[in-house]
Amino acid sequence: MKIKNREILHKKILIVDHSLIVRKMIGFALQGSDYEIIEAADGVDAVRIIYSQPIDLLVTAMDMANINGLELSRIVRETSGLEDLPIIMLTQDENRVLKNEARGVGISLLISKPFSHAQIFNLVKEVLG
Amino acid sequence: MSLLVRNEAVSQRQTEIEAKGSDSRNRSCGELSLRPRWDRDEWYEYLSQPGRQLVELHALTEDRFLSFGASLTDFHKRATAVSNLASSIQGKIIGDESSGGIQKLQMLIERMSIFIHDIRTISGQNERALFSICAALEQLQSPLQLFGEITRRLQIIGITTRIECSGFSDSQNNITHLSDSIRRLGRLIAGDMNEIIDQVAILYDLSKAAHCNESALNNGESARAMAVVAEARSVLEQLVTNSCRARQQSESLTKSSAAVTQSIAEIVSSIQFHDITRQQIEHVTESIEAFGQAISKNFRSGELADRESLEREIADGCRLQSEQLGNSGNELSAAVWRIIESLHSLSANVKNLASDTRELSGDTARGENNFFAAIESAIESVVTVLTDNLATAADSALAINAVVSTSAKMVHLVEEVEAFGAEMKVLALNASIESVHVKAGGSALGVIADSIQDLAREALLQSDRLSTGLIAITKSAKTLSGTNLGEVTSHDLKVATLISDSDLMLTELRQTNAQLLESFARMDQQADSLASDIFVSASSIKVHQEAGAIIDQGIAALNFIADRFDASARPGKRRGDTSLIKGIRQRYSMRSERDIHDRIVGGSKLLQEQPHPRSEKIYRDEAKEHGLGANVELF
Repeated sequence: MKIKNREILHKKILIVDHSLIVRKMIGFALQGSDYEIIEAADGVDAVRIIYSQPIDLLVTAMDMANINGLELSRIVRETSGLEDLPIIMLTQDENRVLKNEARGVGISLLISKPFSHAQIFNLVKEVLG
Repeated sequence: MSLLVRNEAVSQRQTEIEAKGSDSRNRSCGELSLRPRWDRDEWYEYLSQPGRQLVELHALTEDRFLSFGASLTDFHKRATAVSNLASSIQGKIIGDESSGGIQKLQMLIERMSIFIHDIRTISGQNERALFSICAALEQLQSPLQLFGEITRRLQIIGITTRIECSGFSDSQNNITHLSDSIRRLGRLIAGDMNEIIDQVAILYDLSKAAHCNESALNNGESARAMAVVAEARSVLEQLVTNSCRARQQSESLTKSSAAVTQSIAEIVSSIQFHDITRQQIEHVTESIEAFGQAISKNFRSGELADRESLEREIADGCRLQSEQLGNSGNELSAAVWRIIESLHSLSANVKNLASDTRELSGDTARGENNFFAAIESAIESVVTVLTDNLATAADSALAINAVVSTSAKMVHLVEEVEAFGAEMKVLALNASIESVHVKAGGSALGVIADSIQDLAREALLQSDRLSTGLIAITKSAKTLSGTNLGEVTSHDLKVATLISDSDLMLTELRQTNAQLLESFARMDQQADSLASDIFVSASSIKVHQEAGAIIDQGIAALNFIADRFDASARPGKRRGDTSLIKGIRQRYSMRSERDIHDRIVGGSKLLQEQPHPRSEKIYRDEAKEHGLGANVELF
């Protein structure tokens, strides 16, 4: 697992999920914690953001149209300077093959839906140190 | 287009499709088979209808859940404000300001108690001293009365001497002079004695009045003040007990309000069930699209036999998706019901929180009113008693000063009387000598000389008693005079300080309590309003019913297609083994979807899951060790 010991203040977190509700929910869980939240509705939008600004943590859904979470993670890992970017993957898929793939790509944490707001907050805190 | 209009349109379309389907089936009878035949447009219509409904469903649920999420965010913000208020109230109740205020009040009451005690002590001393002075003055009455007797007898002796010795011609002048001297001495002593008697009477009245004042103060106002201070102490003890209870209650309020905030956050978390349902519905939509593509492909190829097989396959697929959709609807409905129940429970909790706040606020206000009434009454009594004590002490000081100065004058008069006694002895000696000179009647002069001698002794004895009594009175009065005046000055300052301190303290306490009551009122109002809004929000959630209606229409549309082809389905190859059904299973991301699939079309290991070198349990255990939860896998 790649857990960085960085400052919590002003860390940028990119949340990628097709569902606006899930993005809002995660934003709600992290509100008031001094993280800067950036949202993307799909993998294409996420790639554009990742290439345009520094990100400290990627929280992505696995199941998305166009570029799914696994493909997005592969792109991140293959991008120079982002090899160690922590990635939390959200999934409701019980498919072991996909989970194995996620591990292979270098996902830090995989969390199955549904999860609590406290849980996502703690995970982010754990990953960002 | 509104939901209602859309639903009506969908229903109308359904009726039209059913009518058309019925016509087609009727037309097909006797043509190719008993199975209905649809042209490409019909297929498009039938398959696109549930697809459109699912799109509409997605839009509806997302809109409702987003709106609901916004309400929850608002509730969370308001609950956080209530929680902060509860913490602030708890801080005020257990804070230094409050406990310090109570300590200051305890000290104030103890100061008042000490004042009253001191006043009673001093007043008691004054009362006893004035009583002693009055008693000593009363004791002067006896020698003063005896002096009255002495002067009366001196007058008689003077007259008798002149009468008895009127025949002694050779000693006429001397005896006349003796007689005049005796009478003059009697008058002088009587004059002094009258003055002393008058002064004693004045002192007695003054001392008696001061004694009565002290006695009244001691047994009246100061005793009542003592009782009032005791009452204030008791009320303060009650206030301390109430304060302890308020601490516990405010702690409980803080915990409850924090729990409310936590509950709202949990409900916010639960809206993600929408996403789970969304994905299930997306899988259904994708399956229907796959059916459409397969039909289009078949129409392009024009193979009728293949089409029959495909129709059966699609019938199976529609039946399957109908089940999946039903399950999604049930899960969505269950999730929404859980949210509604949680909100109602939350509303009740917030209502209780408001009620508890109101109760604690009422207790605090009542306790405060009782306390202020008692403490203000105590302060008023103490100030009255201290002020009256000042006046009484001043009167006593005046009386005592008068005793001191008048006693000194009286002592001087007594000293004169003592000199008169010595003079009487000389007169007695003269009378004795004259009794020897006169031959006839000398015995009479001898008796007179003896009488004067007796009176002189008596006068000296009584003047000594007077002198001793007056010296003792003066001495004790002088001692009290110094003490009393000092105490009067000291009490004057104490009264001023007490009034000033108590005013300041009560003002501070009133301000603190006013702030506390204001916070209580705000918290009560905010919690009450929040409870009402949560209740209204919970009662107005209809998304499960709206979504349920659309899902039911989608299910009906899917079942309609399935029924048309499934009714006459012929035994063929195993349904789950077809490529279309296999493709559907591969889209699933949830265990529940796969379970339904296997139940409907028969279980098969279509998707071989490859084991990973490390088991899932190991990843989950690792996450658990980090306290990340059972649904987390840490890689």
